[in-house]
Amino acid sequence: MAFLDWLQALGKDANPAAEGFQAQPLYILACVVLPVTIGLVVGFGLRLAERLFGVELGRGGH
Amino acid sequence: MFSAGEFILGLSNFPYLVLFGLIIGALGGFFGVGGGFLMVPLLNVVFGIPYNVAVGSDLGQMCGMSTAATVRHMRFGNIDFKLGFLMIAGTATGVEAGASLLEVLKHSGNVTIAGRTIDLMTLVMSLVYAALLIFLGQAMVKESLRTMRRAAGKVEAAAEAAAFPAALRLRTLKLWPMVSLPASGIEAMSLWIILGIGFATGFLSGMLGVGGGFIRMPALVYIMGCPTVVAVGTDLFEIMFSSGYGVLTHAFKGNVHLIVVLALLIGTTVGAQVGASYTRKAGGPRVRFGFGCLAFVGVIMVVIKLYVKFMHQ
Repeated sequence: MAFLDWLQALGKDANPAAEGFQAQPLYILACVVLPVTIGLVVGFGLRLAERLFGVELGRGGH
Repeated sequence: MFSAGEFILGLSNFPYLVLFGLIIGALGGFFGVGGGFLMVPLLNVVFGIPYNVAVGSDLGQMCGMSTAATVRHMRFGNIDFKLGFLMIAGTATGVEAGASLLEVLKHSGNVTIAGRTIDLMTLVMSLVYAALLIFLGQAMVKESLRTMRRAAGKVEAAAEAAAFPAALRLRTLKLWPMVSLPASGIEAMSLWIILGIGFATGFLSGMLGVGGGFIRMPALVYIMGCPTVVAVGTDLFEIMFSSGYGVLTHAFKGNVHLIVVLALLIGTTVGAQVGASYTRKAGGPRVRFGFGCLAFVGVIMVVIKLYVKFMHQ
């Protein structure tokens, strides 16, 4: 839950309605790094699972 | 009007968002599509998430999913990296144009129609999504019916290929500079066609939060003449970059909700695997026919939401 709270707090910094809004560097970094990291972990994890168990899982994305 | 900062979505919604991602991911995996064109309007209809936040967050989810899918496709050598990198220039320009148009809509305020006020972004995006879902729904229904008829021996494959004369004309266009794409078996292709396809799909990604595979895939196969397996791998590679660039530019505009991104990613990752495993059991054009019909259900939901919002203003 601490991680979710941290993400929630990061999002609160992003308020484009505020005067002179400028997105915070950490928020921008998290927006890109979070999905890419999860994607890499899932992609390589599934490849490893396929190799270990000798099965072919759905490739996803299409 | 909401923006990412004003829009409050409590952590109590997290499990529901995961469940929602699981359902859309399973549907996408089952029907063999990304599902982005259902994700954004339903995030708006079901959770009340403003379109700009739904688009930005969906691009984040798509970035993760396409990264995972690209990593897996790389193993099969199905990606034409030269084509992918050339297309990125057009895609990035398109994403920026689409995101900028959404930004203009976000700040354009309200319009009054028949004495009732509604914000322009909701009105335009609802209508665009309804049109997109109708277009995709009828295309999928037609394609699945054609495939079923072909399987029954009623339509010749040659007659089908002749239905795309404009695509064949574009393929032979000699507009300098010309590039060769050996990995796709293409000797010479105008760079402008590659950039044009990239721009069109990038624009849809930036504005609507969709992967654009429904345009890029037929364009790669019919206009450029790519083998289908290379088109699938290159399309995923392209989606990874377009959604990655899209989430970056939307993050600068404050349109990405990190909790939504995380919840959707968890749900769609699991859901896509579940859906894909069931496709192998069901499979075929009947599945695509079902998804085409599902798109029309999406149209009805978007129109009802718009009507209710309009009547309560």
